[in-house]
Amino acid sequence: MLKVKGLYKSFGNLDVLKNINLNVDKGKVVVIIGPSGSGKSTLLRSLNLLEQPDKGSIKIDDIKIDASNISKIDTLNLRKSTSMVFQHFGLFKNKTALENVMEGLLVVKKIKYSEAMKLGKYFMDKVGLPDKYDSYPSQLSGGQKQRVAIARAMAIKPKVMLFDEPTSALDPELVNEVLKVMQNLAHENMTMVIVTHEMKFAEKVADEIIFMDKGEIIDKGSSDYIFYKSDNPRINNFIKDL
Amino acid sequence: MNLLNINFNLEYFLSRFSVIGKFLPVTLGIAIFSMLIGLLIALVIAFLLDLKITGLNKILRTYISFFRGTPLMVQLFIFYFGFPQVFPRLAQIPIYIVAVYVMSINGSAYMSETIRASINSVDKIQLESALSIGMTKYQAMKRIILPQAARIAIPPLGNTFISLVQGTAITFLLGVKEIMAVAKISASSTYKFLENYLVVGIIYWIITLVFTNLLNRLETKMNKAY
Ligand SMILES: Nc1ncnc2c1ncn2[C@@H]1O[C@H](COP(=O)(O)OP(=O)(O)OP(=O)(O)O)[C@@H](O)[C@H]1O
Ligand SMILES: [Mg+2]
Repeated sequence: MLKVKGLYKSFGNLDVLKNINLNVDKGKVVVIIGPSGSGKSTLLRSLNLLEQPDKGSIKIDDIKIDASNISKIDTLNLRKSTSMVFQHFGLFKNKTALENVMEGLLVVKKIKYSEAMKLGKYFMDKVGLPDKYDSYPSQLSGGQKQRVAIARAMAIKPKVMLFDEPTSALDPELVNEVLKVMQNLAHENMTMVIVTHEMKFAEKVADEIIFMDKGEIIDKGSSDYIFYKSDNPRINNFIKDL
Repeated sequence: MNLLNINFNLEYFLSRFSVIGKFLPVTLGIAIFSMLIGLLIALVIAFLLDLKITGLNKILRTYISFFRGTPLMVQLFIFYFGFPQVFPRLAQIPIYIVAVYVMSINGSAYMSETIRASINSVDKIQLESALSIGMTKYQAMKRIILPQAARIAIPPLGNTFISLVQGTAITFLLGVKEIMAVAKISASSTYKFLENYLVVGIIYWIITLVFTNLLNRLETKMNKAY
């Protein structure tokens, strides 16, 4: 369903992504791991076109983007079929939790207000926050904020959800409530690409683990393979250091 | 009344409030129009700056720098006395209009900076979040970023308005008949300088106090929201 071919991206003369090829089948969970600065965030951001790749193509079902020629329409279409959960939540601070979830429904999906409200509540309930509809982001804990952000990302019914270290900014005791929500999503066969440092979680949910270093995919495979069987020294060093 | 031989006519002083106050609409009119037009120009400038067109940005930066870097009085003189020398037809523009457009331009230089700073102070990840779910930049600005920026911009914009109100005092030099002009004329003809200037000072002060109070209320109201 998601096909990335020959993706390149550089910032100035720093080559951050070098020939990235990636396939994610429908309903699968792919976890990307790798050292800091290896380009994991840049890859996810490119899939959402928050960064413009320099070369290569991205395909999600019938939406095809070629880096050499990205139109505004393509950009919008791609973004409508992917949604991103950021490390630092990025909730709309001038809107309540429920309004955050409804925003994409109203503005992007053009669903009428009463219907959007119903759906918004459904997704808020789904992430375990039926009592926080009317709270503003400033009144929520980090874990609650991230769950609202996930509800917001789910609400537009994306084909693929992208997560960039969704638990890294959270106090340790709040990590699990967020991972739980993501695990539920995995069980419901949501297609997901996740960058995370939570290796236990990765092992549990990942259909495939991708190891990135210095802008390249070094190796990939089942969690069993990456964590226990790979003899690649860079991977072993990375895992040993965790 | 000539208490303790102090040369201050209290009765005259009190009577000046209504005489000078009659011209308050002129003062407020110039300030309010300048504020509104200035705000419009400032929004356009902020928008154009955001396009990041190198040549255009240089011109706009120069504009902002000049109008912030020179006294309002000098600007008024350049536009009112200076330009008609080169473009004689400009001399036909009524003084009130000249006053309003010079003050609009002056205000716009300050307000464009305010607007930009307020927009920049809304964290960028909110914009990215909006884009990431498929909103256009326009939708994101309108629904998410600008409402938050507006809240941040209100106190400094209020200050600009107060500056504009006080700035109208200089327009009497062009012959605009506002409260300062009336005070000046009466003062010269009666030699009651203190009475007249004190009255006009108090009127400016009251405007500022009333406006500041309104602004504070607005701020508290908006801060309650989130
Ligand atoms: N906007 C940018 N401008 C310039 N350089 C950037 C930009 N964004 C990222 N980089 C650089 O690109 C490289 C890869 O960054 P990226 O954030 O993708 O790494 P990462 O694998 O997500 O790291 P981390 O685990 O620390 O989040 C880094 O060297 C980073 O400094
Ligand atoms: Mg990162």
